[in-house]
Amino acid sequence: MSDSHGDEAPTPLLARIRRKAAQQCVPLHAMIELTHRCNLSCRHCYVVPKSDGNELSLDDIRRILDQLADAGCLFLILSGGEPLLREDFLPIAAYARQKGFAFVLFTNGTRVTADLAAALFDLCVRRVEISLLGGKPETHDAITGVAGSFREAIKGAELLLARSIAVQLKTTWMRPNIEEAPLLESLAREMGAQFRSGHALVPRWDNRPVPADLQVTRSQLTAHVRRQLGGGPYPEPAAVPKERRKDIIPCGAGRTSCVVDAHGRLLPCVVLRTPVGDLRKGSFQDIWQSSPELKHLRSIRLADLPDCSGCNLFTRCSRCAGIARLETGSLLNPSRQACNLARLVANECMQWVAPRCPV
Amino acid sequence: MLPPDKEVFRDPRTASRVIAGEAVVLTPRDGRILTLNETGTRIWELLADGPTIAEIASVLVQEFEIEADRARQDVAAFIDHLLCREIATLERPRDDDDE
Repeated sequence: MSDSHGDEAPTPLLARIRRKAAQQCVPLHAMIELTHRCNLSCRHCYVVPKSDGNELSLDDIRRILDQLADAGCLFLILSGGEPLLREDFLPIAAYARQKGFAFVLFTNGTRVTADLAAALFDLCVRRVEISLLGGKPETHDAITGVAGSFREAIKGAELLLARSIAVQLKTTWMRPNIEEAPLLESLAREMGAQFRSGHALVPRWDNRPVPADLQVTRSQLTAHVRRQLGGGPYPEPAAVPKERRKDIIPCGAGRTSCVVDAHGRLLPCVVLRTPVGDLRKGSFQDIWQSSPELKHLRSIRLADLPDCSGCNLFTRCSRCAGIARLETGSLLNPSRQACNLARLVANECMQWVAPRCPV
Repeated sequence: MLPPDKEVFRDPRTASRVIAGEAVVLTPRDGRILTLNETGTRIWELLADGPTIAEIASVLVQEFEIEADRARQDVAAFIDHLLCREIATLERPRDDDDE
């Protein structure tokens, strides 16, 4: 018996499990968007809320969980919209527990009560991730559009932490909040929560672009990266031999991970939202095994990415294929967001130049 | 040592899946990820039905050509290990339909 501690951080054991899953196209990770409704109106959110009464029913969800379990899915995210708006959230979570999923809840935290925290503890939720979009209440509330949402999110986090449930506060860096990074990090630390952050701003599903005033400025990003690097020395990423690079699978979407939206459509990921099948009409296994779109996604190797495959910044790059497609129309092109960030980090480290960085 | 007629179950709080022939099991409270070898995976599969130690040993004797006494001892020791990790239980899990 071998073991590894912690969440889905890439421990050697989990990396080995993921490699096995990738070899056999096992959907190890899945997310179910239980609803697209939300009680907040975050300015950067890509979800276009709908209240069309066409959400998956509890029976639909149970059937889909049965099929995901049969296909080998272990790590399940219950997401939204705001999943706690569903009155049947707890029966859904209980069924996920019954079916042997390690499930994580993504929430804005405002609907967490003491009773819910107790129930989640009993269900052994693996982790609850709460979006916190500023270190100051006014920053968070201005982004969510709801006064008091910061206070409610913190209260929700505290109720969960009081039950010894792992809580992760998470944020997307934007112009109004990136300078509050130290505040957010210390807030999480003092509460006993984990913290993670990301830079990806995803355009809305209705193709409305991310508001320009949310985009971080160059100087903000530079200052943020410098702070993150802590003045160095920064470890040089492990080199990957060229002959191995060409076979690297650049994205696990549709191979080891998938998303089920609130209407039962199967998607490769939260960004690649072209449905590959309808789980109300077909079975997961049939769609997963026969979808031409998924077969195409799975066929892509790093060597197929004409610009990225030879880029010196490859090991520092967090390119998302979905965002690359949204930015350029192709899954194979570089992502401007990822290029900018990787180039900035590399320049700050003063170890690399970027002669072939395409952007 | 656990008696041969003792029934053993998966702890219902445990997350697990058999992936490409290997059981991946998460401990309920601290989220530790465990993987089981071929024999351990077979035992884990059997635990879904709440077998006795003797029944598990009997399957291993047939499928892995292990001597019977040795199988019973090894199974009991392995189950002890699972009980310590709280991923197995000697209590029959409550069926939700019992409510």
